Amino acid sequence: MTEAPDLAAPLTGWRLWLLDSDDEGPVLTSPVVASRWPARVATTASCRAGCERPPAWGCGCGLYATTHLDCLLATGVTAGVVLGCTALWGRVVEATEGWRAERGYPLVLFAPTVDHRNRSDVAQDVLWRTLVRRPGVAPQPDPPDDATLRALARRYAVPVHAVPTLRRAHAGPIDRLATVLRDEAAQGLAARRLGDGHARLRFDRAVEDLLDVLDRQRPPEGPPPILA
Amino acid sequence: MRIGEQVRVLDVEPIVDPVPDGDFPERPAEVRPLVPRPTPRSKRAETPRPPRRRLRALPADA
Ligand SMILES: [Zn+2]
Repeated sequence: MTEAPDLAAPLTGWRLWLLDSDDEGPVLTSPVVASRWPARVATTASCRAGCERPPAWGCGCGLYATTHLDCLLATGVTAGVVLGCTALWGRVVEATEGWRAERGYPLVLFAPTVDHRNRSDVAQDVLWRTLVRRPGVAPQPDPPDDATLRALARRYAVPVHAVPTLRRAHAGPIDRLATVLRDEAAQGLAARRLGDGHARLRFDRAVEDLLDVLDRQRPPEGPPPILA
Repeated sequence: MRIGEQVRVLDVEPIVDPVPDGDFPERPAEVRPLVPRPTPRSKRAETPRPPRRRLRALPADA
């Protein structure tokens, strides 16, 4: 006899990926370990310590995501990194500020782009090294162009939005809107997949509200203060 | 990534697969057209905007 699941809709949380590429185009990889999130297939957690079914309670394995977006913006998010809301399901360890999950797939992605003339900015490099803790990762890549972001959206079949470089100052203003989007991403998932136009509009509206605030927070001229 | 103190273990089994095409493998992926976003140095007036008013004008949730 099988037991009923605790939840029949996925959990959703915020996380970061690195924007990498392979023979088939742009690919999302973990910033912490050398593993990629495949397109059109759920990512399944694995454990280097050998846990039979990650995430284990007494281990650190699993696919991570946070409840609140501001947790991820403490340092800022720069070009080459992709921020997104991901679905989480399967076996999930719930924590006070996020989750570790067995399976995941992104639902919407936000890719920071930055002006090429700022590429030598020391702050950018510091931020890049802070975000990317994986050994052997190359220096910060060029910011993704529109063609790359379109290819990413097509490959993963999820919406991808270019955004300004995200700063710590963004955290407060967008956290509430980010939570609305996260909730809608989960609660409206079934309806969106079944073609419900209203559910899709609610989701799109939540994304637009978030993007509006990011635009308003952008400095009018000059290089953005990356670590402000 | 810090996620705080562990609380409990959940078994989450979505009725609908969160992976696009998981339920309709014969249907090609639907990708919304990418709205170009401004770069940090671009001027606000040059930023194309999505049809926001149309979104707002539609009826509330059914
Ligand atoms: Zn483990």
